[in-house]
Amino acid sequence: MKCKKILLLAVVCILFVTALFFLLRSCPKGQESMLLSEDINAVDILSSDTTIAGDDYIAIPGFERLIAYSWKNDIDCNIYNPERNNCYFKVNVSVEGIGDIFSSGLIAPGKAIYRIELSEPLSEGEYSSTITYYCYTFDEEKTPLNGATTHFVLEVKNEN
Amino acid sequence: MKIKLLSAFITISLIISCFAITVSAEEVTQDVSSVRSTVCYNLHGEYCIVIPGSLMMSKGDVLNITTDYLHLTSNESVQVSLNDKTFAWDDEYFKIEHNGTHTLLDCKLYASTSKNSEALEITKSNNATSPIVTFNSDDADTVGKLQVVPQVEKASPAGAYTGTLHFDITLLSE
Repeated sequence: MKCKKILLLAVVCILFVTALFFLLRSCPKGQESMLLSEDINAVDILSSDTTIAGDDYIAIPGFERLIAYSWKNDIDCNIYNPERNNCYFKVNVSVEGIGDIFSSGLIAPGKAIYRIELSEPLSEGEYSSTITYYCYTFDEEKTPLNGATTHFVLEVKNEN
Repeated sequence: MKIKLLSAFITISLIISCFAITVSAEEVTQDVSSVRSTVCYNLHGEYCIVIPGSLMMSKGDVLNITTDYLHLTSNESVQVSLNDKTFAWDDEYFKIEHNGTHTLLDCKLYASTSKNSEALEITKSNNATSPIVTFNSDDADTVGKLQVVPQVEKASPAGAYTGTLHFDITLLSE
């Protein structure tokens, strides 16, 4: 009789542990708001960079030109948050005459976005464009820090 | 009794072993005559400008704007100025906000560089688009300086004030 109780107890324990395992696996990892959650497209930067920014400074990278193709509805790019920055980036890419074509979630230091998906391909030509960097602290309040807007040319080619 | 415990233990072990079994199979190729290695170079861009992260008003410091790297040709330069977002939409001045009462405090902004100490006052309609500093490949060590001077009044509540500056960074070709 006592042995049956032990066996029953053991089976109940196993069922409990198994249920807990599957419950933890199926739970979402956080309850953060969608507006300020880390961008899932931000991946590790391919090589370490050499930025020198400290706690009170923010390194803002910039480039002169981005190339896109009129037959593709994505753009290869390198929008990254330098590894030594001590804040999140949230970036908006805006094209003159079209408006915002991309808005990221939070990009942690050492993360980059290498591809922008467009709703539809752009027509051939050169467009004045901007990347606006909004910077936020790491804490729960996500306090806004100073930011910057960099200007670049988006060149849309027709060739393959 | 011991046998029953043992059988119970074996049963438990069998049930647990049913989970988390990972099986991987990979095609094995023999007599490989060539190997492929991927070379990856990450070109970050033409420049990286270092701006102040936050306003350290309590220190009364001058905010520095410097470069991290510049990959520019001799006829290119990078210009840093203040963006319209820095200023209140209905006022000439940059404003900082009291953390408790949300009272706004006007600030005067003065721009200068390490090579030209003559300060230029910047308001929304006056010199707002003038560059604080211009960097080029021969002059990468120049430091842009931005001084924020709060215009404190008697009615201004004591406490911490915060505000955010927004910079405009443009690569120019002659």
